[in-house]
Amino acid sequence: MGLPAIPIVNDPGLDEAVKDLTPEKISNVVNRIIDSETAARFKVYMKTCVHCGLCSDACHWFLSNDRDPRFSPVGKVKQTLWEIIKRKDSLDPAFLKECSRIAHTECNVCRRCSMYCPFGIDIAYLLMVVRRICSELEMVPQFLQDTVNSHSVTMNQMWVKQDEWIDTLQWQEEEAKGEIKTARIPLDKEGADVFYSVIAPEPKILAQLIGNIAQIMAVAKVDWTMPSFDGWDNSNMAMFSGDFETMGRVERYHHEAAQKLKARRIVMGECGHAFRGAAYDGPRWLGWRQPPIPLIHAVDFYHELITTGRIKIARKFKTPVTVQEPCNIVRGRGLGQKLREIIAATCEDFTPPDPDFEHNYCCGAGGGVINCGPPWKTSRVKGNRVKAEQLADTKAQIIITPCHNCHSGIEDIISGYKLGMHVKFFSEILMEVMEIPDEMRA
Amino acid sequence: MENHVSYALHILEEPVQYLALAFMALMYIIKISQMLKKPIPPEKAELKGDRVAGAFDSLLNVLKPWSMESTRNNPYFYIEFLIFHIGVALTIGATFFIPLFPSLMTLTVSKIFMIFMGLAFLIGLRRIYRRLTVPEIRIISSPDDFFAITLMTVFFAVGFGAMSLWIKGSPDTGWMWIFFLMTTFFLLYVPFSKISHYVLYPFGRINFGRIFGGRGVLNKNVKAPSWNPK
Repeated sequence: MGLPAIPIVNDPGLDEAVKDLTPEKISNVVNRIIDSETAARFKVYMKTCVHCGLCSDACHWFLSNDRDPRFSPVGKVKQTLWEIIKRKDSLDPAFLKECSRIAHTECNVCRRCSMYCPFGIDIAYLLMVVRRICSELEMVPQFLQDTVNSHSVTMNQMWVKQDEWIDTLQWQEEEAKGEIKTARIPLDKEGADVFYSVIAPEPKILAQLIGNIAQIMAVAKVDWTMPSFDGWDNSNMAMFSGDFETMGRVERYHHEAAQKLKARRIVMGECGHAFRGAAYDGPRWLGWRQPPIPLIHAVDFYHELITTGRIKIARKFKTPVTVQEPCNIVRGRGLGQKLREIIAATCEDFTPPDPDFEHNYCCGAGGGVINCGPPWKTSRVKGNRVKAEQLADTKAQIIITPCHNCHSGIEDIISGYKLGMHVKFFSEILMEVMEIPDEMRA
Repeated sequence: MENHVSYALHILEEPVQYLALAFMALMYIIKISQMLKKPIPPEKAELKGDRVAGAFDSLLNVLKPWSMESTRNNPYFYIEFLIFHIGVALTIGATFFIPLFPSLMTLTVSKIFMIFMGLAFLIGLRRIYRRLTVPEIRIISSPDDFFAITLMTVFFAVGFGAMSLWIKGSPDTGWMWIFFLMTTFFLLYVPFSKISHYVLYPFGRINFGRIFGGRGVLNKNVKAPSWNPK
């Protein structure tokens, strides 16, 4: 068809694992997953798609790669799942490697295409089935698999040891106390109103965010706690690699940590995928009747603090801002309006992106794609030119996003396309504008 | 209009069609019951919206081109879709009305049927062309896609030809024979082809509506959850 060659990326996770695959092993896994793990909707989706191609224009990968049909959502399903179904007993290892590349590194499972599909087909779910098959065959990009191994061994994504975790919290408590006298990070407090959990990159590389939340909690006078033990990390890369057994373990630890401390509710930090795992994918895999403890995302929590007056806004943020709406909490949970409201309450000059809310483009980092690591960074950034154009059109200087994956993905887009913008979490905005009573100041 | 036809054509127009229709219904029953044997795990997270309203909203979005970005951004495609499917319904409808209720097929009604058949034929040609030439469509097109759209397009043309003779008082023509033979073939073939999307699409749309409705993404105005799975 005269399409450009897809650049070859060396990834030991795929290059080495493919050597151990045999057609028999592939066939066993494929048949097991398709026959015993897929739900009714799998059959519905596979039989309903009329190959109309309307999903194509929904995908930032397709749009950013000059409408290359191999990057359209249905094109990805055709290259993977349709072939898997068609010749499931005669699949070769090289094909499975291609499947992993497509499903793990060229789809953010953001579900924007579902909004476009006339039949409501959840194409992301179909590509998650491909990821599941690849994971069961150990065909996962190395960096992503490393985070899953970390989850499995340490119950957090970044090999953070317990003493490092506690030490980081103590350090950040000291930092917070330097600003607000009453700031504390209460560890293992039983019966607190809020069990606050974060994703592992916070103690590892963004520790100041924990210090920030300590100050926000102090100003809002929230009765809160964090655990000193496993379960503090709410992230879940196993959900995206396809290792659902580990995903289930991670989610169980997270919920049980809050239960152990008899917390009244869990407030999750600013991360989209973590919320998806804790609220939806995890409990569904675990077969729970319901999540044991009420769970809210940081956007919900900040909305509550601001609208109830527990946090007062001293002055509005003046620099022009726009927003990156995380797929997993806006398209996936409907928090778009609350996000707009807290931005309106804190920022003076806001320009919405176009399209927005549940129709907004994905950041390109979510769905585990950024976790596939440096080998795939070039294709990832190239695959989101439309996001760069969309952000540039807002002429904002600051992009607010309440999600770690979005934050990192947008940073890469800003530098890759030389947008000259900056990205901030909402808590960073809040830190700049909230009213801190004089008697609290250090 | 009257429908005085030979006994042979009468057999094709009625008993044969009934048998083929029964076969199609049986195939769908088997297909749907097999599908529903698979688990349907519900979402257990706290409801943020209305699942039932979401399902209705999603099911009816075929009538609301503004509600979906793909049709909102491409109104021409929606109009084409609408005319094509009305054409399908009327062409199939004609195969029932002609033998069973010929008196309902007045000249005006017949001409309306024919207008939609003609437009649907032209849209069918455009869709074949689109499938052959648009890269992102060509790459995903299967032999069944080409066969189905070609068959439908020919079906519209044959229907148009048969009806144009029928309104002139010639019900028992070669065109009419081909029209009903094709109808019979359709009834037998459709359950195994992509054309059966019309039977399966409510399942996908309802599921989509339940999920996104329950999460408060659809029906943003609904405040109270309508159903709690616990």
